[in-house]
Amino acid sequence: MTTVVEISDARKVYSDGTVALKGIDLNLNEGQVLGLIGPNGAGKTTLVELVLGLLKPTSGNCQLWGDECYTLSHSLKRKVGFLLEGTGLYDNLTVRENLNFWAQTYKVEEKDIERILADWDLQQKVDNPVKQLSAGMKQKLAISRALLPDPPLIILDEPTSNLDPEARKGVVELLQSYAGEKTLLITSHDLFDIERICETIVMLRKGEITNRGTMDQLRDDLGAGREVEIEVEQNFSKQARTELLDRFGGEFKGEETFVLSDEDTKVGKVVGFLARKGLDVERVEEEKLTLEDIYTSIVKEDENHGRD
Amino acid sequence: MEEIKYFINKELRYLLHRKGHLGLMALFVLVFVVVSSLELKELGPLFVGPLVLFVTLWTFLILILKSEQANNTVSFLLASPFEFREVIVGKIAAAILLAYTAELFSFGAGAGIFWFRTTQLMPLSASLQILVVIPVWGWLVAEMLALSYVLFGSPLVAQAVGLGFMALFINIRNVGTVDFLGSHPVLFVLLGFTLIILSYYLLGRFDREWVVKRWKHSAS
Repeated sequence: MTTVVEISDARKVYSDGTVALKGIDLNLNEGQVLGLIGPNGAGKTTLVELVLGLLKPTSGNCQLWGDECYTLSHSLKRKVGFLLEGTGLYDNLTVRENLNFWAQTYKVEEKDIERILADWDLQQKVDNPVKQLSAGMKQKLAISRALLPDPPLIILDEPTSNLDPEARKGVVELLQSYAGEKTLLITSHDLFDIERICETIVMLRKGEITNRGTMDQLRDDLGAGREVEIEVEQNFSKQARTELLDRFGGEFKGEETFVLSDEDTKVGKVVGFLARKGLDVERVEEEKLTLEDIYTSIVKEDENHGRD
Repeated sequence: MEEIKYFINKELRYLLHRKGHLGLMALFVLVFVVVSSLELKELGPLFVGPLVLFVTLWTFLILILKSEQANNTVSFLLASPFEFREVIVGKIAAAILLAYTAELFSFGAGAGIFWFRTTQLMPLSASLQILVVIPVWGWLVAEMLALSYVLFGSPLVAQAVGLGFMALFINIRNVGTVDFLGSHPVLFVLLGFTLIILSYYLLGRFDREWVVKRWKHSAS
């Protein structure tokens, strides 16, 4: 399988001495969909700018299709669709003028502009200046601008921000449809969207990759991949609550639900205990942790280690 | 080079949307043509042409340079199939096109008023000077203006150079003793083009990372 993005031991130190990336190794193969997450200042934008050739690595390499990103040819640049902070649109130009400019730049034909306008439901606004569009419409136009050349590599920074729920669903579904067909690198604070779009997730923290893998691998990394909810028909008595907490840990959710975190070996014992107490179990349900739960947990864990 | 063409097209469209600025510039040109022709007589067309060229060039160039910052598009441009020099040259070319149109109009109108008042035509050498030599050197001044704005956050350095250049030109015409510029137009055009080619090469030597950082954050 062709490697599209190849980053090896890439370090980036800014002129003011800030170390933004500390030896990143990351490969992205053709058709792979990778989500980049991390708190503010983790180095996500630096990494994206490195791949887009806006920054030069202080040491190490960053390549696209085997060529250095910083000196990438125009023809290879035309194979990358991207969205950065902002929209890349000119407020005083109309929707069509904006798309025309970028279409010329990426050597896209007129009919493709029409297709994009139709696909993104932008025909009604085609002669409006961009400054008259809502934030959501601008974001839609910005994404359509990035996808205009139908590029094999798509790099999107916060693609779903500012979108209303319907448009957001549309963007997520579109990006999901690219799986296996196009190579995607997406950063987002919206971990729910990342979880739905990306097969591989990389977490950056303080310029380093702290976790990487599929959702299941991240769950394993965390060592607490799921929760089990046990619901009883009656309310828990005060005594039962105390005993449950003493013997099994966990926590209560409302009057009728007891939650165990990744303690599947205890589930049978808890159910037995409840039966002995005369409490009828109505439901035992395993709930997988979301990416957001995992992310919050890892960040908290890091912060705790930082304090130690 | 094709990329420069796209840029010129985009910038011209952008400027055509700035109707307020265009109207103000048109008014400035009209007033200046009339006033200078009445006051300066034979110097009118020679004076007003370059002045209109430089003032409109600066105004339009600063406007389109600022638009990239206002729209937060600097990173987008330089991550796209554009080099920094193509961006700068495209912007200057668009501004020069409009400024040259304004200069042509003002020089033509000034020469017409001059003919109406004196029944004399403007000398060919002076006309060549206004219509060829000054625009070529105007391009170089525009490059300095663009670079000082983009890289150092202020067009003041280039404005000072441009004003000095204009003052020298006007002084040459007034004194009438040193007419080197007027009598050697071909030399000045060739020298101007050589410097333009050299500066195009030098623009390509700028480090993209540095340019992005400076342009995004330094100018206001």
